[in-house]
Amino acid sequence: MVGWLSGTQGWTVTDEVQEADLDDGNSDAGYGVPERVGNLEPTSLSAEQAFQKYVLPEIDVLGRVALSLTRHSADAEDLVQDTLVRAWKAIERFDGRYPRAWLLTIMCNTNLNRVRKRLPDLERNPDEGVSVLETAEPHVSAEDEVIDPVFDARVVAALDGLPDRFRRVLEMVDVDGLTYAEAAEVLDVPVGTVMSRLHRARRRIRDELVPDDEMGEG
Amino acid sequence: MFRRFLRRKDGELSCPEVGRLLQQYLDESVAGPLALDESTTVKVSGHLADCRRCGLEVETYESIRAAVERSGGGLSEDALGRLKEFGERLAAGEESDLS
Repeated sequence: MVGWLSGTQGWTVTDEVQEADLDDGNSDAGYGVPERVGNLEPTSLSAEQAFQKYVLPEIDVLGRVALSLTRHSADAEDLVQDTLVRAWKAIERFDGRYPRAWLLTIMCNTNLNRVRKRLPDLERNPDEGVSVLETAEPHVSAEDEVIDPVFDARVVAALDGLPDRFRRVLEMVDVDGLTYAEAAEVLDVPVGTVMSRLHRARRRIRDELVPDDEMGEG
Repeated sequence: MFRRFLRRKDGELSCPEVGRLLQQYLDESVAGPLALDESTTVKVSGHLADCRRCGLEVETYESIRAAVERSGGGLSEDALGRLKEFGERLAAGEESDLS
């Protein structure tokens, strides 16, 4: 898998982009500089190009994390949409580095604001409102209170940071419910390789979440 | 926990041994021929029952697996399609709802 860091070097959005009004025959967008495919020199991208290059490819990941954060697909879709709007508004201030981390930060902040906006609704029932306002974690309801959305978001982020060959086997077994043997057949690798990749994948996620020194007491 | 390291009874597993077997132990239902045999499974269970360190470790792996499972699939293709269209419209300056 090509890491998402690739392709970010030398990227800048500056005011002069707006002045570089090249006649590219595609004036709908209203932005100037066409993408120079294969150009190894540092290039400046228009806001539209930056958004298309760095934001749109992350929508799948944003959707997964949003689902982890909200637990409801309709809320997750709204959250991603709000995140896209905020990202669009901020795209010209974005320095082009670590787009996924940038977008996840926007999404977490957006989610917090969404949760806060909902809190006044709770005050309609004053008996419940105060205690909920004082104690509620974002989006924790009675039936899923054991689920920590921050933990889930960290796991999803760690999952998406795994090399493809690890992530795929982990998703096949832990998401799709395949056995080691089935995953081995799909991937056309020995079953021992499946087990080894699977264990390493989980180990990497675990190591990102729990530093060793936290596990060493006993 | 240190008793597990230093004064193991015959047949008991040490923490490092359990650590190496933990994922196979958790994957009992999907590991097939690579699943732990019954006597090893019993030994791991016994160790986990009274070793806090390994108990926490197994809880961590169970939490991770549950979170990975919940993350599965993500949004529907329809929802992703709508969001991608929305993103395209944003980038093209066609989306007026920027409240």
